[in-house]
Order: sequence, then structure tokens, then C-alpha cells
Amino acid sequence: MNKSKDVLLEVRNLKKYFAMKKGFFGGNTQYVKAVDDVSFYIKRGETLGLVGESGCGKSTTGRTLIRLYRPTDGEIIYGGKDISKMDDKELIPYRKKIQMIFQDPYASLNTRMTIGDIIGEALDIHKIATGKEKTEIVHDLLSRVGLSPDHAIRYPHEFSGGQRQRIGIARALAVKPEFIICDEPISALDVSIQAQVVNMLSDLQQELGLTYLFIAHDLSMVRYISDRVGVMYLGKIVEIGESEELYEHPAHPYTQALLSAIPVPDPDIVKNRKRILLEGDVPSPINPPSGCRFRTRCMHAMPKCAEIEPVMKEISSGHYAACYLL
Amino acid sequence: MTQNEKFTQEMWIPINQNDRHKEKIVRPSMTYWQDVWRRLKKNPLAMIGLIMIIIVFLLAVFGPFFSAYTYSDQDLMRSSEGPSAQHWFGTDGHGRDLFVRVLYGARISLTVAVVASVVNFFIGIFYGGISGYMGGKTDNIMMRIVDIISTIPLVLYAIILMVVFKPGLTSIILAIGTIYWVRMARIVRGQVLSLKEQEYVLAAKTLGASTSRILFRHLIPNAMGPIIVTMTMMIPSAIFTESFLSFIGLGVSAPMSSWGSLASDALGGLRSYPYQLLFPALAICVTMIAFNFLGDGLRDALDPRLRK
Amino acid sequence: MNKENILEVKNLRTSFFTHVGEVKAIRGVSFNLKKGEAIGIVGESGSGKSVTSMSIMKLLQHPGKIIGGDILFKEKSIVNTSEKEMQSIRGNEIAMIFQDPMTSLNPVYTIGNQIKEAITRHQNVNREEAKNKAIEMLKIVGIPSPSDRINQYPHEFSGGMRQRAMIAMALSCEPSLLIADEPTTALDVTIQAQILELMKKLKKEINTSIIMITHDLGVVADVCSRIIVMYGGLIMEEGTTEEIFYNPKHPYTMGLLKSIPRLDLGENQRLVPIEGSPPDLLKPPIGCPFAARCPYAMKICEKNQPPYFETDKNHRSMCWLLHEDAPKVEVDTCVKRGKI
Repeated sequence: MNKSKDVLLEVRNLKKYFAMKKGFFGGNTQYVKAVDDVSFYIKRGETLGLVGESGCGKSTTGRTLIRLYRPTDGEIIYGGKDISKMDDKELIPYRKKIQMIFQDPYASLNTRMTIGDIIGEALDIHKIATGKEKTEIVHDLLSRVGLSPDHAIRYPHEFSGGQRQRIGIARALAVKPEFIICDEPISALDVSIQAQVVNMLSDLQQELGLTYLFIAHDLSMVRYISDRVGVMYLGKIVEIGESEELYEHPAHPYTQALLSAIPVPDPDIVKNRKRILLEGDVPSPINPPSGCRFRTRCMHAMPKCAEIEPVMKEISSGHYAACYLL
Repeated sequence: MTQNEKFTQEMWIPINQNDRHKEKIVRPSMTYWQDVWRRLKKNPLAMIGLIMIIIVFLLAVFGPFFSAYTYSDQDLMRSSEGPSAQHWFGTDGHGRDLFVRVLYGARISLTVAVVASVVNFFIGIFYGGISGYMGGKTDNIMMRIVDIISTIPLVLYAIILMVVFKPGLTSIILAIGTIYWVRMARIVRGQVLSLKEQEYVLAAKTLGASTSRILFRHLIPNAMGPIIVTMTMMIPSAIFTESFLSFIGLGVSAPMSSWGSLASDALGGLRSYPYQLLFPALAICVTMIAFNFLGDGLRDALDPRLRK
Repeated sequence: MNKENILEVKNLRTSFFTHVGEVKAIRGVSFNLKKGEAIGIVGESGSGKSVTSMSIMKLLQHPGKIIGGDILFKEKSIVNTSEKEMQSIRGNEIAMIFQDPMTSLNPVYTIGNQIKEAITRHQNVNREEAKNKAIEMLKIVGIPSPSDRINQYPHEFSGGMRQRAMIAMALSCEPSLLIADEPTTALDVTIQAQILELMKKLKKEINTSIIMITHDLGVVADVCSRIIVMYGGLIMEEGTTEEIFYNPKHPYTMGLLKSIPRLDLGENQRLVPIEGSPPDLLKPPIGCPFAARCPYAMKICEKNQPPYFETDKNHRSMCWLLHEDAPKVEVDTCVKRGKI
């Protein structure tokens, strides 16, 4: 392995359960197992894509990594240190290193603050700059994301979705982070705008040497931006590997179904291809199926799948999947 | 545009891509409060309410200065006279000018209402904000305390305060101020609970913002709409409570007057001098209606769903 | 009016009279829909695609208003029909499926009740017949054990199931026109695939005309035979699905095609985004609405709204580039026939 591409972040057996209250006295508490034993690593300067359907735990994974949530179990090793159990004070230096871009451009900006205040907030919090220096940094960040400095005095509602998302990017860049978690940054945007944001993200990665965790449900965009891709289903990673390899040779039946479900903007291909149609819907993460979690929708399900959970298996170099078929 | 129009050669010149402003915003900039004010202005009832409130306030503050009488000047020769050019609202049983006394009563009633509301505002925001933001056990305990406080009957509580302290303005303000905030606290808590999962709050957290910063820069400003509506609606009910307490004799003592005590004084001579009750009652009604109009208008103007 | 057409929209103009001024959401839209045909209206948010469908259904909320043009449904103008007449058309002759299956079903009634109500409102059947029809419809849209499911409430259905139930309800009166407004946007990809397969199947089995409104070119490529591309309240380009994908004439359509990542084209493809943001229809541009973002914009584009140029019998495009005096532009959209 290349030495310059050392591991920046490693996640070991991460679990995040949310308690669902039952009754006043808290008896029989049920847990939503949003993330259930997930392990992966991200190398410095690369982009790891995380895909899956709604409720698979991909956003929870992202939010736990940046410690918006306290993990139920497991380790998050960032730059050699475990940040999974740190308190708010200990986390402050990491708030500058890890940043996040959010999904909903309409909800991720405080409507009562000007763009300048929104982007400059981080500078205030970490006492990076004040006064004229701060204004300069904000203007610089605005032009970096393709907006003009005189937008700083305006309010979020005056901007379009794509522009707002770029403001969100500028806010994340203000602390000069090294790792950015992109939580579905394009799913709320129009098609013509999605490419703007994605291109901007990859340009910034080149310029600033950023590392990304790119969370999305849009598999085609994920392939475009990611070096490696992990596929999640019901709180678990079922397959992970280099994106080229994963998209060309998907090993897990779920990945195969996901890939074949993507609408292709090409009428000839659409007419000739055969879709793998999955039956039914994703089961509830409160009572996930025993054994392999995908077995209730899998066309290849065997009795064995219900008994013991399949473990991750290396199919080819760096390409892992959890399925008995392999 | 017709096809027949002449096309000149230069019309087909491509535009230089670099000198175009693709990100230009054509709409004028408008802050949230400018927008609210513009929408409020379009609501005639709310504007009537606002104007009435301003008039009542101005009269209460400056009115007594322009009158030849003071609230305590007695002229027993002219007791219980009907409205006339000299005494616009007539006089009371002690020959005091009723107009000045109603204006003076407005001072007392509005002071009680405004001070109580401001107290409620701060306690409510602080208590509700913390309860909603902390959530979990803290929230549970804090809200149970609120439940207990809200079960205390106000009149009983006011009477106890009167016994402990002296009857008068301070006791009334204290009574209203320490009880009424529970409604505000509940409103603020509800708002904070729903707002704290918003992505801009999460973003502030990931930037390392402190709890107080998140609360006062992000959550409270965004909860301001319902808070202001609640406060506007709280003022008339505080006025009403004050009047009620004064009416049953727990309010300010003579010769000071409040709308409630004026109404109470007038009760004895109701059959002979109905105007003595009419004017203070009218003052209470007008003020309450004005605040309710304004509150309704604000509720519409602050409704985020109407914002485009 | 052509007898073959079930719907003709002529120079439709719809505006929203907001407090800041008149937002001209649709600024002269004309198209036809043949019996049994499925067309797709593609555009981004604010292009006017949803307002078009709401205008046809006459479901515009205040302050929206149709201010000009005509809508002919089965040779009869429905622009000036009364609300009462529209109620007998809606659900019966024209049905609609909405984007969000979570909010478009009433949570206090069972699925069966809601479908039965739709049937009995427009058809003269007794309760037993209505119930049987409801069960049959649920079966058609692929809901397992429909006779049990009929007694369940919407919250007992998953998102995909609810959208199926919505489709069952929309089709229960055998409408001659079905408008689907972003029917799969709120759904996951695997569920979206299920719903699209279902719509394709239904199109074959029931001879309903379909208007599919979406922002996803991949979705229309699958279901529709003709595509209308909207931008800034105008139709930019209209043509058969093949024409639009393999022979686009408008720079906006080309831009859309170039900005979608393609799984089949490998990693090295660089996405070409359309720069800038859509126009603010409070002050729509005088010329071509796309001029400000168009890489080929000419001086004329900013001053004059282009007319439609017909490049083929079934293909028209609103762009000055197609004028004989305009410079010729070659664009590679990466979408080539037969390339996989």
C-alpha cells in the first residue's frame, strides 16, 4: 500500500442503537438498531461512498462518526486516536478537522442569519479571525464556491437550492478541515445542479487534499465521485470495495439488485435490459430478520441464511462481501 | 417576435461566457422582520389593533400631564357628576375626575401587564429553552415542575402573596410574573424540541458551537415567532387578571386606581351612575380587543408556511 | 381538434399573484396527448411542470390562476368549467398520483374505504360491487392478500405499498387520463423500480393516457414514448423519446443529458454541469429563459424569445441555434444509440 495513502479514519464494530420508550416506567425498551456492527476505513485523500436505501443507517453512521451521536459501542479511530468516547471539550480540536455537509439545503442554513454570519460562525467559535480579517476570509470562501462577496449580506431564502448547498460547503471549509462527511449533499437538488456541486466537491478535494465520506442513495453519482464504495443494508455493510470493481462485478445479491434498479437515461438500454426486481420492502430495524438481514427479499435465500449471519469475505483484492453464495 | 424581422449579422455573435453574472439575484434583499412587517401591514385588523395599542399607551403615559386634574384631587361638591365638557368621563363618588383616573388606571394596568409579560418572556425562554434542548430526564423533571406550578390557582396564590407582602402593585406583578411563565416555557420547549433536530443546528454542533450559542443564536431566534404571538396574547390576559384581582379588592389601594378597582368602585352606584362602570370597562375591552387583533395578525404574519 | 387527441393544451399561461408580484409560472405552453399515449414532462423545480398538471386538474391553489390559453379535454374546454363539473371529471375521467404517498392518503380511513369511496362517488355500483372492485384493483397493482389488506389503515402500509394503493385508487374508475406527478421521487431505488415496472404493465393492460411529470430523465426513458422538456415556464423541446435522447436539439436538453452520471460509461467521464441557477419567474427573462446559462448563447437569445423550429415531424425545439443564420454547433451528449 502506498505510504502517502495512509489510513485517516478507521471504524471498528460501530454500533448505534436508539432507544424507543415503551411505557412510563421504561420497561421493555425496544431498540432501533440503526447501525449494527459496522467496520471500515478511509485512507487520506480518498473518497469512500456509502450507499443504501432509506433507513439502512448510512446517515446515522455519518452522524456518529462526527459525534453528533454517542456510539452505543465500537471505536472510531481518527488519526490514531479513538474519538468514540470523547466528551464535548475533548472533541473541540476534532471539530476543526472533521466537517459535514448536510442534505437539505433549505433546512441546513439558519434563516435568521446572513450568509456572512453563517460562514463566519466557525471563525467566531474557534476564534480564528475577527473584524476585517474575518470578512476577508468569508469573501474568499464565497468566491471559492462560485458566489460573489456581495452575497454575504443576503439571507438564505434569497438563494436557490444549489447556491445554498454551496454556502453549506463554504461553511464547512471555513475551519480548514481535512475530512468532510457529505450526507446526501445532492439528493435534494435538481439534476442540472447536482453535477455543479459534485464537480465542486471533487475540485476542492484536489486543491485542498480533502478526504470524503460521501453518503448517498444515488448509486450513479456515488460511483462518479468515489474511489471505494460500501453498500449498506439494515444497519450493516453487505459489500465494500473499489468502485470500479464493485460496479463491474457486484457480488452481493443486494448490490446487484440496487444496480439494476437505477433508471438509465437511455431508451435503448432500458428496453433491452432485465431488471432484478426485489420483492417487498426493507424490514423494520427494530426486529431485523435473523441470520442474513437481506434474506427476506433475496431471491437466492437458503435455509442457512436464516440461521447464521454470513461474515465478510474477501472476493478479490480489497473487495469484501457478506453472502453464502460466495 | 416575428419571423419576418430582419436579422443582423451581429445578433448571432456568441456572448462572452466570462462576463455574465450567472448567479445574479434579481429579488430585493429583505430580512425576516421586514418581511413580517410588510405582511402585518396588509392586515387591517392587526393594524387597527396596533394603532389602538399605541394610542392607549400614549394616553396612559402623557394623558395625565395635559389634564387640569390629578388622579387624587377630590372635589366633593361635584361628586358623581355625569360626563361634561369639564369632566369628559364625569366624576366619581369623591368628585375625582374619572377621565384622569381611567388614564391613570391604564398606567397601572399596562405596567402590570408589560412587566409581567417581560418577566414571563425571560423566565419562559430560559426555562423552556433549557428543558427542550437538554431533553431526556432533565426535560422530564423540569416539565413536571411546570405541571405542578400550573395547578396552583392564581387567586389563592395572589391572596397568599398579599398576606405575606402588602397588597399592591408589587404583589400583583409578582403573582402574575411567577405563575404565567409556565405557558411561555411550554411554548418555547415545544419549539426548541422541534427545531433542535434541524440541520442548521446539527451544523452548528459539528462546528463546535457551545450550548448557549446554539440556544441563543440558533434556536431562540427561530422560535421567536410563536414566542412573540404568545406574549402578545399574554398581555391582555395579564390585564384581565390584574383587573380581576383589583376588582375583588386584592389590587392597588386608593387613591391609586386601576381599571379593575375603578370598575369595583362603580359597582355600588351602578343604577344611578352607570357611566362610572362603563368607561373603565370600555377601556379594558378596547385594550383586550386591540391586543387580540394584533396577536392574530402577528400569528399570520409570522407563520413560516406563508413565507415564499 | 384532432379526434385522436384526448387532451390539447393551447398556449396555457398560469401565474401566481404573490405579495411580491406576479410569478409567471407557465408562460404559453401547448401540447397534445393522444389516446393511450404516455408522455413525460421533464424539468427542474420551478420549470412549471407541476403547475401544468395542476392547471389541467384545475387544482391550483390561491394565489395561482390560469390567465390565458385553453385546455381541451375530450374536445371540451375545461378552463371555464365550474368546480362542480370538475369534481365529476376529477378522479373519474382524469386521475392523479402525487409525489408523497405518505401524505396523499387519509390516515383515518382504511385503504379499502378510500378506494371504495372513489368508486362509489363516480360509478353507480352497490357496496358489495365496490368492495370487489377495490380488491381487484389492489390485486392488479400487486398488493399481496388484498382482501385482508383492504381493511388496513395507511400507516400499516409501507411507502411502496402506499404508492401502489394510490395507483389502485387512481385507476379504480378507469380514467382516460392519468397524471403522475413525480410518482417515484419519494421512494427508494428498489421500490422505484417496482413502481415503474407496474406502470409499464398497467400501460399495456389498461389503455390509459399517461402524463408523467418528473425531473429524472431515466424514469421517462423507461415509461414514456414522447418527452416534453420544460424550463422557465416554457416548453424548450418536444419530441419522441428516441429523438430527445439520441438527437437533442436544445442546449438545455443536451446539458441535462451531460450532467447525469452514467454507470455504463465508466469512471473517466467528467460531468458537465449547467452553470448558474434557474431564472426567477417573478422577472422572467425577455429572451430565451435558458440564455443566461447557455454555453452557446448569442446576442439575439437575450433579446428575443426564439420560435419553435421543427427539425422533424415530431420534434420541435425553441432555440435560435436552429435558425439558418446561426453558427453551427456540434455537441457530444455521450448518449449514443446502441452503446452499452
